[in-house]
Amino acid sequence: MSNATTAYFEDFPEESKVIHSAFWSSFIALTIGGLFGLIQALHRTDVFRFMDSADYYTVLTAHGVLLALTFTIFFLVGLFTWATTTSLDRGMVDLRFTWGWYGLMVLGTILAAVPILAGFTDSIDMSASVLFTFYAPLEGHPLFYVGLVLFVVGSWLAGVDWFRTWWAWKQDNPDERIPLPTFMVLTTTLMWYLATLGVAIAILAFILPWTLGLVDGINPLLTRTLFWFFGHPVVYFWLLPAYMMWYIMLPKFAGGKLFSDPLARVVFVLFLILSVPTGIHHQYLDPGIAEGFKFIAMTNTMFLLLPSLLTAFTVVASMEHGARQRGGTGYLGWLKALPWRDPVFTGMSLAGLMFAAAGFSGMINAGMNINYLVHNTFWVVGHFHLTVGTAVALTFMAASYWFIPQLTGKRLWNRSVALIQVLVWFIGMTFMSNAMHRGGLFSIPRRTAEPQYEEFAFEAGVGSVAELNLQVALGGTLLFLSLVLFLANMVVTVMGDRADSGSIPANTYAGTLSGSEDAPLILDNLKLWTTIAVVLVVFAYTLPILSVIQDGGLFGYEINGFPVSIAPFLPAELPASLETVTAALPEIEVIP
Amino acid sequence: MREMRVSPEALLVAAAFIVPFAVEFRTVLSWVGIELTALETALLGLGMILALLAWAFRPADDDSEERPKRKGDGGRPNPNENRG
Ligand code: HEM
Ligand SMILES: [Cu+2]
Repeated sequence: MSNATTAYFEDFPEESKVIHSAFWSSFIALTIGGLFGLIQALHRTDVFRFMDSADYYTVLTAHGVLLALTFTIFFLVGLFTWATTTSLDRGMVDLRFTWGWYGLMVLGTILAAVPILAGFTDSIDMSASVLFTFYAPLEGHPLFYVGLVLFVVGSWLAGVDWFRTWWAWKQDNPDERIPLPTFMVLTTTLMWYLATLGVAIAILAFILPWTLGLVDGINPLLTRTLFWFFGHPVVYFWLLPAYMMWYIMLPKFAGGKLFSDPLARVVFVLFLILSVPTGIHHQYLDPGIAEGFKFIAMTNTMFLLLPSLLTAFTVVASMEHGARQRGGTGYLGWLKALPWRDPVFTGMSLAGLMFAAAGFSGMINAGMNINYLVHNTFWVVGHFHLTVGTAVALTFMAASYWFIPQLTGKRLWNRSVALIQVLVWFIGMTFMSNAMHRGGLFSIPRRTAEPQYEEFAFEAGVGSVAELNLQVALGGTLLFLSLVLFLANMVVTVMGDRADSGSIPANTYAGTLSGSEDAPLILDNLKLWTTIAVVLVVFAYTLPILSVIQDGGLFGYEINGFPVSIAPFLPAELPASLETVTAALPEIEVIP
Repeated sequence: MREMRVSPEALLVAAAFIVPFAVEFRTVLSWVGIELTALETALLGLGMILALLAWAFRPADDDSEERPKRKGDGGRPNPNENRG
């Protein structure tokens, strides 16, 4: 609770262990994924190459899956368990259940990782170099999809766990408002349940049966559409834990209080109802979906700007309040009174700042007409390294500097190294993402080891493409360096001795200037918001999905999948493989 | 050593902020027809960082509005600040 004097591990020793394990699962994914990121950045810019370009997609799949799914979601489940127990001031109902879903998520990760990594060697007849979007007709080993399913089911059970802990609390506190952190956990979980239906259906009903040979065909547009049904809201699944940190922790570290509890609730409700009916904005260039549906998705997307702008306002207002509490004055002079020497505060603030930049490039992505300019270019990669790669990743890393001592009772090894780490990430990402955005504007494609073509040269508007490449490589190297500093700090911290009791700060979160008593009761009506969310999804998706099925068939065309890590196809025999594809084309037929 | 206007940490953060500024400033300048090379941009950034350092180490004049003791990090302690 907000007035506690003890650290988390003292109040919840058992929960601390689960959360600590989840965080380390996340850190391991971050480390391996980050290493692959560096390899990509150096390879595709031709700065340093040590592997065959044919292996690039295996690296890229591992990078995408480990970072976008494993790193983020493991951190989230740890964080949400902390938020629920802290704000309800009670432990999880049944810790065996808690360990159970954590174990299931670990199992899922391993099952998915094995076929991905097996793609590096020919001695194991397995691969899943299908990227984290696994678009058919790319075909991975079935184990990959099974792993993903188990991982998601684990996260569902985690949601059940938070809900039942809240229900237990409600029995004892029938007249109280849901504490804000728990409210954030519950709304995000509901959004996740709705969102993951898409990917669950895509895998269980279509992709798995197809890879197992139970059905002959697949409708790529259908599974793509179902993927993006999940693929857009998943970005909020990454982002909302970061938002939670900005709402309930950042004001505290700034020395103040959260500006408004009701506004925070409104924001999370808006994300619950608006996150899912927007996924088609990733498919503006997909043939087979009528422009009108794309237009609806665009409109919903633009509405989603609202909660993010509300967040920017509330968080900055809370920071200003904190700074003035600390003696800051002036229109902008208060900025100097913020605790910039605190790596937790500085890391989260820099993450939020980069997220503002990402919001601008996101608006470009979201506009149907201007999206055609940047679609599938390096621009998009620049964009989401600011969102998930910084707003989320940097917030999580910065938060870890506070959490790991909370969970272990050990002092952070080195605060100066931590401060340097968050700054190096900020600088590295500035270089990398700026060059990616600019390269994308000149049509440099994403997702390729060889972004150059014969008899054609990209032209950079300012500077040169070679310069952009160097900038990406420099940024990527700094980012990896930052990652090493982070990991070193974490490892040395947990290897150290326990601090004297009482020397770890108390487990508290920010108070509020305008509290839950100011929030209309209807905001806590989760059934209502879920119903509205479902209705909006039905409106946004029924017609597009029906027409996709009508055009392409439920099980689509008879297609043999393309295992992408098979080296012999590339690159010397590329023309030959193209012939294979063209030769196969007439054989495609619609299954009635 | 003379008293600095800001703590070393705050100085580090301010210096880091100059990096995106310099990088994006190059693009902005190109809109008005001024095209800097990468080297010129780097030098410009370095110059800004040096100016920042000069400001930080120059003691405040008594008659300026700047108060000698910066609030910043040397200011009031924050009971919530993470010292873990
Ligand atoms: C060491 C830091 C990192 C470096 C150097 C790096 C580098 C890269 C590069 C160069 C690409 C583009 C490859 C291509 O399109 O050909 C990429 C893609 C990607 N990165 Fe990173 N990255 C880093 C960290 C992160 C983090 C922290 C996240 C998320 C939490 C992330 C998520 C992604 C995703 C989702 C993709 C797209 C994968 C795909 O196209 O399937 N990256 N990264
Ligand atoms: Cu999206």
